Amino acid sequence: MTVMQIGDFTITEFVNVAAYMRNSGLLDYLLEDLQDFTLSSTQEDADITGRGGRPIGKKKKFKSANGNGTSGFISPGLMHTQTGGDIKYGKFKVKREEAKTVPGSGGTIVTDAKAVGAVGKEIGRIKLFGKGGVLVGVYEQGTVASGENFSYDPATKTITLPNNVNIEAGLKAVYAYEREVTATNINNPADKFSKTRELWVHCYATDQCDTIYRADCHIPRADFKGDFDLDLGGDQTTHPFSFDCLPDFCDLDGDNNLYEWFFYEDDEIPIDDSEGYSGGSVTAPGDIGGGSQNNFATEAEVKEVFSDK
Amino acid sequence: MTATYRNCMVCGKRFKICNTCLKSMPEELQWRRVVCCSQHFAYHLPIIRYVRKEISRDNAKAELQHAITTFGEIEFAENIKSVVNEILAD
Ligand SMILES: [Zn+2]
Repeated sequence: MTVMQIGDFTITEFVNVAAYMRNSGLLDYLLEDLQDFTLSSTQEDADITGRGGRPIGKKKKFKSANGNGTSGFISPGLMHTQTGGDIKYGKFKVKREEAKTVPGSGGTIVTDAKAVGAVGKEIGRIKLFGKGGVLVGVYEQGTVASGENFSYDPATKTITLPNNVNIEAGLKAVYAYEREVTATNINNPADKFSKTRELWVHCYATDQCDTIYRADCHIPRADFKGDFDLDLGGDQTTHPFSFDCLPDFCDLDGDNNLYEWFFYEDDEIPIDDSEGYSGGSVTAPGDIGGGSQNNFATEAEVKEVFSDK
Repeated sequence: MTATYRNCMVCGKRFKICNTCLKSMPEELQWRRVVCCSQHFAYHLPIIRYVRKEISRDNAKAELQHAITTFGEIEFAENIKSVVNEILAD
């Protein structure tokens, strides 16, 4: 093995950021499509003054580093770290509203999904609107359809409208209901807070001779901030994040690093063939490295990755 | 917020809906959203399940008779009288 020292270089490409559990060292999630990433270092210098206030030295303190970046995909794993919430996979109830055209008095409307809820109140209420959005009538769900009530049969997803002269074909029926879906659920509880992870930021560096190196930045203790904005609507929704680098007092070697870099030519994994370089690979935003094809983690993956909190 | 009222699906009496209480109970059985009192839920279930063809008329009749025996004869709401008569017919 040759002893090599890197000269001046430039970071030419990000590959990814991997986040590991602090206590177990196991992989938690991977951010593969970063739009940007910044690592900032600061230190406060205070003058030590002598006679007449002349500076005779510097008192250096408050050394710190922090990072921030933007993921091109919304990452459940990252959100879990930022919110301290839970990621669950299973059956959940979600609300849905629909607006459908009325076929006429006593006619039927089929809901897009099966409404669930208290027996006899799966839909609860229907509002009928006429031309220009004028409210024409409000009807309650009944056991059977009558002059004032509509009925609902969950098995066939069928609403039978009231028999009422005020109900004409062409009106808009607006109603809402809950339905059961199998979903990945990520929450942001008011009483839980952001978490700390060990981060490895993987990049490529190129020196003045165009040699490509791997450049890995190790942040032993990244304390994620709970502040982040998800801007929905408009352009692509991205997932920003920020963290403070804290010294790793858990490290028995006691090397006290806020972060450290490793630069190396890679004999073992040829760089040109590896993931990410020149064009980059597009992988699932489910974060579970190379996991399922449908962009969502499977139940087993979620359990495996997030059981270790 | 003003309280929401509706007519009991069994007796037709106006009552105040509660959407937030009894969270420990399965949602299907949240009677405070459909009937005026827990007793009327015993009449409500066989009637609506019969209408939805989830149970046979014989089963609906047995369950409804049981509710009447347990909680007594009641005046059914106007819009379900005919279906109640259909269930209870000999
Ligand atoms: Zn009642």
